[in-house]
Amino acid sequence: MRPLRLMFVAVLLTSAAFSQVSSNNPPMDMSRTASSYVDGSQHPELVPDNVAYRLFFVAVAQEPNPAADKEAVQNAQLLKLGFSAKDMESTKRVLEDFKVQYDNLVSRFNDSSQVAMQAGDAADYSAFSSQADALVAYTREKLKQRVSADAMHKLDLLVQSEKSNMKMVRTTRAH
Amino acid sequence: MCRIARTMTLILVLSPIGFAQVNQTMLPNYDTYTTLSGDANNNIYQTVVVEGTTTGSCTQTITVVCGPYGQTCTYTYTYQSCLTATHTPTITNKLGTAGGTTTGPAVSPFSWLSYQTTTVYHASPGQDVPSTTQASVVCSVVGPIFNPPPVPEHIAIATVVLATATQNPGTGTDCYPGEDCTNPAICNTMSSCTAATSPPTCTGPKQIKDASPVRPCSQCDLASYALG
Repeated sequence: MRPLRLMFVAVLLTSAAFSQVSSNNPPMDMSRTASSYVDGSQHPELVPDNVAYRLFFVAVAQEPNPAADKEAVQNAQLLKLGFSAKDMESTKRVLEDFKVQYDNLVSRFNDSSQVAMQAGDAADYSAFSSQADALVAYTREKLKQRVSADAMHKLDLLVQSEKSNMKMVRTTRAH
Repeated sequence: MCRIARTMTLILVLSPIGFAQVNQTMLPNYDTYTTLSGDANNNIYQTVVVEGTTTGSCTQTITVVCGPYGQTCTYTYTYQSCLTATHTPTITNKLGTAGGTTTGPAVSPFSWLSYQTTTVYHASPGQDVPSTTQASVVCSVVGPIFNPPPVPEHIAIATVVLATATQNPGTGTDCYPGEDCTNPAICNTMSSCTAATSPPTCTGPKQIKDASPVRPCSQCDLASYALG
């Protein structure tokens, strides 16, 4: 029995030495992670379209019947696009749908991540990320159907230029 | 058997990296976006968004070689402080004398965090308006996990001279001098040409400079929008 106990102690020591964190803290051990910081003002080309459109939609989208101050912000944000009144209204409706669906998606993910955490599991972030990307792509497609080709072109020009105002950090496990 | 076990113990203590594999870490993934816009009343709107999550779990799994023939043993450890940790977004969004630093709702570590603020400032054309923006996420256990440097800028409203143009409702195109436009419509105003980006962002149609020849509504003459 004694050798087995010794082995167990050794394993615990190994764990402590390797994880390099205090025993009560989460494993925020960055020594085996690769972190990339993208500053869009320096490298806008490194901001992916799906991220740029998501951030733009999140910043501009409002719920149906927004308060007057929120509507004023949205109007100013959309004015930059120089859309016709018809395209502007269509865009607002599409973004309303985006906001409702996005908030639902986030809410569902957060509920599931809470359950996973309590169970000692990792939340299914890759599924959430795929669904968010799909929602962004769907919203772009819906806009394409509802507004003029000229408006879509202007939207893309704006989002591409707005990449210079975006920053992102991505951390992955190093191999 | 005893001798083998003692040898294994020694190896595990002295050479942990060669034998142990930890398969869980906390991985922060966050984005921030700042956007400026303006309206026809010389209001500048500055919106800052921060979004993202941390992936991983509060349980660490360690796999070690624990047998003489390469057998492996897996151990798990749950970090109790992680289970009650929170991640809190903070946004600094200052524009002139308006705005400041605000803190959003704290969320559990692996939740998707989405927080934004908008600061509105009424400026005069040509007025130099200092701006500072920054977004960060702080973990209650380990401190800042997303903390890009603040972005100081100066914003000014562009002064422009604008006029209306006529538009052919049948074709949706602009009427040029001499063109016969029946039942013409007046171009809408385009506030983005009057407001708040530096340099002015003139991406849209519906307004033209009062000049000859009349330009199509869809064009924006950047050269005519001098700051100040």
